[in-house]
Amino acid sequence: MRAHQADIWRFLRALGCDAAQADDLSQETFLGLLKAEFEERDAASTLAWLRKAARNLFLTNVRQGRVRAALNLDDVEEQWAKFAGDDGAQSKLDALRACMQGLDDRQREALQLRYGAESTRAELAKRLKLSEGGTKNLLERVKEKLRECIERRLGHAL
Amino acid sequence: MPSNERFMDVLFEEAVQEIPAPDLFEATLARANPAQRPPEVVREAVIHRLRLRWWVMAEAAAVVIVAGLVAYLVWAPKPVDKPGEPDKSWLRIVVPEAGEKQLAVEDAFSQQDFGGSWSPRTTAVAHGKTALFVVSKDGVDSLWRADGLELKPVSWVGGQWVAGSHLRFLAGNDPAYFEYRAGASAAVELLGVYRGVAMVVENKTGESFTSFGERPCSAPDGGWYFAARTQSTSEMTLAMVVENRLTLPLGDNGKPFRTTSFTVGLYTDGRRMLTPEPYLDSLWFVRGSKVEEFGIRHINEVEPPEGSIRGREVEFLQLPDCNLVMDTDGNIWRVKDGKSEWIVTEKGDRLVIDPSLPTFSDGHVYMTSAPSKESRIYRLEGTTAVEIEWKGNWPRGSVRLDWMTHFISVYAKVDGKQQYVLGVLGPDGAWPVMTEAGKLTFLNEPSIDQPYLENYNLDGRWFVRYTVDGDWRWGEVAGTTLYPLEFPGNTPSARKDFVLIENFGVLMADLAPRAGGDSPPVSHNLGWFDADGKFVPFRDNFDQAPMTPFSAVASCEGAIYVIAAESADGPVRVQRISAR
Repeated sequence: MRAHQADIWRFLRALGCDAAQADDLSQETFLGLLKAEFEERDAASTLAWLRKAARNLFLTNVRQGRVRAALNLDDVEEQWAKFAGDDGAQSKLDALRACMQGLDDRQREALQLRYGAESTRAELAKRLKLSEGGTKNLLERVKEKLRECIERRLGHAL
Repeated sequence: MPSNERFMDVLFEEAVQEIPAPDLFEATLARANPAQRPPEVVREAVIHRLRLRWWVMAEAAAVVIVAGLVAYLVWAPKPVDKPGEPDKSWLRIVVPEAGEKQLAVEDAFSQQDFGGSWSPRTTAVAHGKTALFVVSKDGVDSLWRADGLELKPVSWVGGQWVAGSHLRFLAGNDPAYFEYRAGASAAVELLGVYRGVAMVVENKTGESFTSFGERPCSAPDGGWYFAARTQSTSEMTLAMVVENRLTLPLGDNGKPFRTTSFTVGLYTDGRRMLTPEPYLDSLWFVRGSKVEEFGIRHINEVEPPEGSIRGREVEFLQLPDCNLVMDTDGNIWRVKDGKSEWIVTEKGDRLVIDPSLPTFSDGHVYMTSAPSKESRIYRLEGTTAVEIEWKGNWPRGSVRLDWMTHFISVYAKVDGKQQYVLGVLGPDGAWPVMTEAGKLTFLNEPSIDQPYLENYNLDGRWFVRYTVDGDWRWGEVAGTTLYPLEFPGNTPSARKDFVLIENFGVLMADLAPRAGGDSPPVSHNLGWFDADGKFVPFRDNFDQAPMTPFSAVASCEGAIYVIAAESADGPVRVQRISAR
């Protein structure tokens, strides 16, 4: 469970869950595993099973109106498997954290407001004293810089 | 959005919020039926249960202590002021450059009985010469109106009072718009109050527009925009409200336009522009200057003089007669009448700018050179960027422009340390903002809870809020001079959360600290600024209504209303301050 929980939690976040929903559905996913008398063959097949179960739970919650989805879940599941690799995207996250040290104050502030405070672009623009277009440009450049830095550290394209 | 972008967003959030993916092991076991647990995890489950029991006991103890405290605060005997007779007095105040002014203060205890414990859910809002406010009692929200010294319930056209399980002010004055839900299971509708009468806003066929999104947007010159969110998808249909009529603007495909989220802003020529979210969507949409012309179209005049925007992120600045287009590398070009031209310096060199920073102020477009330790500032004339001259004695450094205002800041080394210095921009130069003592104005570096500069424009006067050494400072910037506004040192609200009010030609403030972003103020302190810019509380000059959490203040046409009670079940006092 501990080997796969980060992967499942992030996968659910990528599907559109907030942190609390991802906590809840991850637990549901693993409870499902306990109930299912699942026979573990190897880590990869366990992970694939868990992702499928998480996706189905997510879909059930979408139908019940608890969470929202505007994605093709099959595509996301397939692409997440490629993106996350065998460590649940942990190496990418570690690289990202290291790369963030290289940002200047303003870039870090933009990232904090966007992803920490979850500000809308209008709120972000007001806070950073930029136009909304300028805010978008700033964020795009910061994200591109981080993406390049991560790729350099990992030695492959994201 | 490509999925990788979505995945990266997940990592960005985790990295920035410093929330590692949680350890769900024990929490999951706590929810599992013991019979379903594999034997090797039973020991961990027992340990977890012991921990859980300890926590439950600790939490129960905490609940008992808090409940005891609450009971003491609620039921302990308190002195109660008896309602007095209606009072009328004059308020004499000295206004900078206008001498003494006299304001009439009318005061009465309302005969209106809210029927027990109540609290105003929102700060009162202006509605013509009257004020509207929401009263929340026993899970029912009702809408009230202060007119003169009378409080009246707001009614529907048929005469019934407006009451429901949810009422929240959205935007407007007269009409004023509210989110309205009749009952817990009812859909959220849009309610408009027109000259004191409430109506549900409907389209031409009499259908109301239900389940509104959380982020309604407004345009400042009439015609308000709202978006509806359906239950089954995150997409919303965009709706525009004019008076009490809803219209659904059509997109390029001739169908009602749908988006996941959007913002509306007033643009450089006064037109409204609409930006759909999410962030990576680079399309901008515009509407005409008249309501009837409203429509959504994709700005397609964006191609650069050489190459193509295909695969590039571009942004637009829509000017009255052309588009300015820039990419994230800082290349900038103008598209006019289908012709694209690079923006060049006075020497004819192609300009590369900081693409985050173009701004529009007083009819001019300004931009800065590509990010560097010493930025240049340019004003756009046609396709030529004219360099702005630095005036006055202040340091050069990296420049930040301020969107839609003339404020700038320069990040430079002063007195041996890097600091932000405040300045203003005009067509002919960039000046430092100096204190009355002739010193530069320094700003703190921005942080998450302290923006580096906020500004307010009240009737053409510019006010700024900024921090120095962790303390909030306020001031009025007239020309290039900063005149400080001073608050009592022991007033917590002097630090933040106040609302500047200008009425009767007097600059006033309502110090109204809030517990959170949308929560009602926890107290109020109303006052004005004397000739030295010093805050003078009204209560020092007349028997001001108690400014408790059960208070609401609204600045209306020709009057300021204070609606207050000393406690949730106390009598409601209405005070109306007006020009004599």
